[in-house]
Amino acid sequence: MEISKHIVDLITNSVEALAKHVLVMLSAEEGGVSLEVADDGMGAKEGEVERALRGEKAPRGNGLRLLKEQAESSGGSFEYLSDEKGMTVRALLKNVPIGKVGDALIVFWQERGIMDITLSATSEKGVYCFDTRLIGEKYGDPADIQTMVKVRKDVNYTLTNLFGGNKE
Amino acid sequence: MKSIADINAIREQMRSKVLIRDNTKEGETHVFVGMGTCGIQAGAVEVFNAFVDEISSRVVKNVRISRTGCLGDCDKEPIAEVVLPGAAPVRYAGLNPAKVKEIVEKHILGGNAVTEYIVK
Repeated sequence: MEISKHIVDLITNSVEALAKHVLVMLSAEEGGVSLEVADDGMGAKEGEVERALRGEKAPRGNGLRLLKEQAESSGGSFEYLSDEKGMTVRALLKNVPIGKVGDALIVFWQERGIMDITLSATSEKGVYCFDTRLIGEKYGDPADIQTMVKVRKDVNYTLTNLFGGNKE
Repeated sequence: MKSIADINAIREQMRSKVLIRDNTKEGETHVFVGMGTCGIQAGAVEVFNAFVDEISSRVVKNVRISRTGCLGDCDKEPIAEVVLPGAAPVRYAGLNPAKVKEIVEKHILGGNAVTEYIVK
């Protein structure tokens, strides 16, 4: 699964944990891409993630198991931290396509104002920052679907330049 | 027995769900795409973006596209619900971008549900 789809899954967990803010950090390192998603939600229930990671049936956390399996089989790593102040998931994925991160972020368009997303992306080619709170100022009226399309295109284009892959 | 914190958490959770549902304005069509892990693996992100493509490339106003949680039919993902103003939700399964195009043309623009893709 592409990294962008793991991002959708992780941010969905943040929505369900009632987070008000999610920070997504992507950086090129050690022959792969480091993905970190941190939120200020209420964290997972005790034992829930562990059960999911062991492959047992769990209402949530199945996406974390997929991410762990893919990260570790790629030669990378996976770790997470969860308490009542939020959850942080960090994975290093090697030779896994970044995918379309713009397509992933606009999935949460209607959550604006309820939950904000900050994205930071870093590679040897540069640094990029995006914040859903600045959509109106930088891209136009958030109620207009054309603004959604603009954001998607901009994020996809910029991250492809930073990390490589297909532009559209 | 649930603690006050649990109850507050549930209330907050319901509030955010209600907020999303209530965001639908009068006369607005709302598309909900199921975005559980099962849906994402099956192509829900592509389906969501196909709705965005099909709606944004035509002169269609008053259509809102939202994600929603797992819709409970994991083996039939990707799933989406289309709610026309004043109409009952129509749930489609096994979607892909080509089917989305057809649903936008026939259902959202034409007003006739595409029965062959409706969840059975």
